[in-house]
Amino acid sequence: MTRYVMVADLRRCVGCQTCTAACKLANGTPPGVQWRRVLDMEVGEYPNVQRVFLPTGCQHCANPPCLDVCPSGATQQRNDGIVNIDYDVCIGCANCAVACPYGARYVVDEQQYAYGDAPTDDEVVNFNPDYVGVASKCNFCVDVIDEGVAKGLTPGEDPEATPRCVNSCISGAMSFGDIDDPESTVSKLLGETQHYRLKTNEGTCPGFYYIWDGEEL
Amino acid sequence: MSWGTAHRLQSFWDARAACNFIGGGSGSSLLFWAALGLIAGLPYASAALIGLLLVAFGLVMVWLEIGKPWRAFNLFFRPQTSWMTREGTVALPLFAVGTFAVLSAANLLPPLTSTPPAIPALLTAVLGLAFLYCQLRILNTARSLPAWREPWAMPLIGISGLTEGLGIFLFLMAVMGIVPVAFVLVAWVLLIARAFLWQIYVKALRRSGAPRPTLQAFRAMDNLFLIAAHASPVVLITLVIILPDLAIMLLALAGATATFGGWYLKFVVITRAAYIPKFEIPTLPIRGQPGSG
Repeated sequence: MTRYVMVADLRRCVGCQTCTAACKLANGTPPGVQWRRVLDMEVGEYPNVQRVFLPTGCQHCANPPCLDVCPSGATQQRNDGIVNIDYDVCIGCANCAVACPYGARYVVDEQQYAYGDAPTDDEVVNFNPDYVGVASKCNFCVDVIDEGVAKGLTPGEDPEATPRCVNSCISGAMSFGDIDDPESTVSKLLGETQHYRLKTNEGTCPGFYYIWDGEEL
Repeated sequence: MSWGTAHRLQSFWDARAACNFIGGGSGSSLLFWAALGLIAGLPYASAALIGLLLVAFGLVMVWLEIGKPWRAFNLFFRPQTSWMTREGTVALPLFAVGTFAVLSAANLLPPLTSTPPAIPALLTAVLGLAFLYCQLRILNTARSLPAWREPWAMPLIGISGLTEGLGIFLFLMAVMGIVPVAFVLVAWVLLIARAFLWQIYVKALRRSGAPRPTLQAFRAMDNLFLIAAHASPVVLITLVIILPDLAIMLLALAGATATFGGWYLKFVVITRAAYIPKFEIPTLPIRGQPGSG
C-alpha cells in the first residue's frame, strides 16, 4: 500500500511563505484562500515567548470527517490516502468546511480578484473558476503526483512528482512521500526525529507530521 | 487577528442556514404535535400545513445558501454516511405524505382515496421526527465547532425543536379558541427541560474548554433566554390553568414566547457562538542544535 504524507520540520521553517506563494501560483486560488498556509504563532508568555511557524492545510486524514458529511460524494479518498474534491460534483453546502477540525477548507461564493474589480495579469492566466461556489482545499498537487508516477518517478524524491510547496521550500522544512515505504525520505525522517500530529484526539489520523526535535537536521 | 492563531467565528453557514434549523426543527415537530392533536380530536389540517410550510421555508433558505444551487440534486448521492443526504431523503416522503395527510384531513381528496386521516398524519409525524433527528446529527458532525459538536447540543436543540413546534401548535389552538390542557402541561414540562438542558450544555462547554468567544456569546444571551424564553412562558402557562377567563390570550402568548425563544437560541448557536478554536501545538520546536546553522 501507499500512504502519502507531508512532514514539516518546525525547527527549519522560517515562515517565508514561499510554499504558500507557490501553491497559490500553481493552483490559482482566489484571494484569501491559502491551501498551504503558514501560521505565525507566538507561544508562551513574556519573557518566555517563542515564535513558531506552523505550515498548515489539509491533513489528508486517514479518517477524514469531511468525507462522511459530504452529501454529494464530491469529497473522495484515494487508495494512496489523498483526500480530493470533485469540483464538478460539489454543491458548495460547506458541510465539509464546518466538519474539518483543521479549518483546511474554503468556500468562495463569488469571483474576486486580489486588487479591485479587474484581474491582475497573473490572475488572467491562473484564475480557476472551478473554485467558485464550491469547497476547495489542498490536494497534495495530485496532478503532479499522478503525472510523475506515470513517468516512473517517485513522489517526494523526484521534484517532478512532488507537491509544489515541498519543491519551493527554501529551508528544506517540507518533505513528502510514502510513509508505508520504509526507504522513503519521510519514513527515515520520522524514524530519526521526534514529531507529532495536530488534534489527534479527534480520531482523524492526520497525514501531516510536525518534527519538533531529534538528531536529523 | 491572524487566521488560525485566534479563535475564529465560522462564516460558512449564516442566517440562512440558521433558518433551516429554525424552520425545520419547528415545522417537523409541529407535524408531530398536530398528529397527536388529531388523535385527541383537535383540528389538524391548518397546523400540519404550517408545519410543512416551515420545513419548506428552511429548505429553501439553505438552498439559497449553497454555492451551486442548480446542482442541489447531488445532495442525494451519499446516504451511507451523510446526514445532510438523509435529511434531504426524508424530506421527500415527508412532503408527499404530509400533503396527503393535510388534504385528507381537510376532506379535499376524492372519495376513492379516502383513508382514515390519522394514518398519514402519524406517518408524517414519524417522518417529521426523523427529519428533526437528521438536523441534530448534522450539527453534531461539525467537528471544527465546539458549540455544535458538544454532545449536549443534540438534546438541547432537539428539545428546543419540540418546544417550538408545540409552542406554534398551542398558539394556533388559541387562535381557534381551544385550550388543549394535556398539551399545555406537556409544554410546561418541555420548557423546564429545555432550561435545564441549556444550563447543562453551557456548563459542558465550559468544562471542555470551548473557545472563550463561544462562552461569551452564550453569557450575553443567558439572562434574556432564561427569562423571556423559559420563565415567561412557564408563568403564562401556569396562569392559563389558574385564570381560565384569560386562557386563550395567555396561551397564545405562551406559545409565541416559547417558540421565539427557541428560534433565538438556534440563531445564536449557528451564527454567533460557532467559533473555530485556534491552533495549538503540544510542544515547542527545539532549535539551535549543532548543524542547524
